[in-house]
Amino acid sequence: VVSRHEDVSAVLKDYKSFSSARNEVTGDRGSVSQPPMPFKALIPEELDPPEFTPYKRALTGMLSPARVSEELLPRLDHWIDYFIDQVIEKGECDLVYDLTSPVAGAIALEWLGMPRDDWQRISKAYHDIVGYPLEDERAQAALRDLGWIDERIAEEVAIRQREIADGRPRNDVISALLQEEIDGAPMAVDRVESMARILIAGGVDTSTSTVTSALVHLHHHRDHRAALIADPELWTTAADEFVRRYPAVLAHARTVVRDVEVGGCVMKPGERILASEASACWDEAEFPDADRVILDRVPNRHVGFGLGIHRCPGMHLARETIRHLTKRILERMPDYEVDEASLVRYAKQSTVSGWVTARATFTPGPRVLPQDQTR
Amino acid sequence: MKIVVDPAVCTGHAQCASLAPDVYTVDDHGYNALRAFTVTSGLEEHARAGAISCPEGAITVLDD
Repeated sequence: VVSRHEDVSAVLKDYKSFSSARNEVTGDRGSVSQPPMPFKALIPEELDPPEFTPYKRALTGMLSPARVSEELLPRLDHWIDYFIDQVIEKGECDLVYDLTSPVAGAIALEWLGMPRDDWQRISKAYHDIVGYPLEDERAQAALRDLGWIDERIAEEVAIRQREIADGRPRNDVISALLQEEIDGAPMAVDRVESMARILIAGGVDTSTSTVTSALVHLHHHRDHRAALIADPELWTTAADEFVRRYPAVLAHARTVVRDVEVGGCVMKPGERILASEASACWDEAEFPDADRVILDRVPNRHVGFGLGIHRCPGMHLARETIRHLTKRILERMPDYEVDEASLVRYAKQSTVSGWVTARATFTPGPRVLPQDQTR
Repeated sequence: MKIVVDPAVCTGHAQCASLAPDVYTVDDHGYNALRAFTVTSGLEEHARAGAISCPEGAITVLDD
């Protein structure tokens, strides 16, 4: 396990020594978790350069800061108010199942092109599969739903293939991926399906986790809540500080493919290592008072979005989701109180962390969108 | 003050432009758009904050 900020950074940047691809050691299991899990391949995360590069290039273009602010921010703000409207008159809600999970799901799945009727089931499946222990019935139900999601992705991809063949492509991400060229040929259909899968898996329960953690933090730290309400400019740095202190993704595995030394430790080809981004984010040598949330922390070279070529392509959307969703909840539900007895942590595992559920009460307020508006 | 960006190291976190939008600009993929430039007088502290915040260590500050 690689734990220091300096060493985790060195590993994540050195893709020539530390491979993300599946190999004879991982077999047909996922190569970026430890132990390797029986999941379908995530493209481009489970690829090394040069094969990796054109897929990642497609994603960074679609999710650039400019595209996020022009195309996704208006939808994000809409869905935030839509889901707050569903609970604002009641004075109580589950911060996860009513707000953070559906908002993150709506923004990612609408952009991707998945039909509205599927969103809640998809978001819930990706939340419950990491939230509950695998033997729990809710995780088992989520595991079955992951199979259903694969079928739904394949169906939606097939619909768009026909539309493109008919010369009437839709304006959504699945259609864009199908028209993306990789080394001079259209992207293979199984690769499009895999990219859709990673965009869902990476998009829906990661921002959910960090925003929920921020809301629970702001329940315990009223001075931070007051500061963010009084000075929204703090969000420029606060979003990354919440990612650093409460990273959704704890670690990624790699396979050593050539002799290499990191932090005085010699590693040999075929060995598996786990680089913990969370541990690096809490390293006192890099972050003074690492346990404390410092809303205006600068510099903040956290690795909560990863580092190097595999850094999170959705980071610009994630930052805005953390900023806009938390800020709007503070505006519309400024006195929310978390029911601490309702707080349940994610099941123990090496990859994702956060709160499975977090009930809250607040002074009821008015809706802001027309009642009959559903999209 | 001059800023030098190593394009081989930048992976498009855009932390520099997030903290100092008056100094750094990013391209269509979120990567630093400029390789080397002179910082406008008065923006030196912004430039420095953006540089030391790069998680990849891609930005070098050259003082006059």
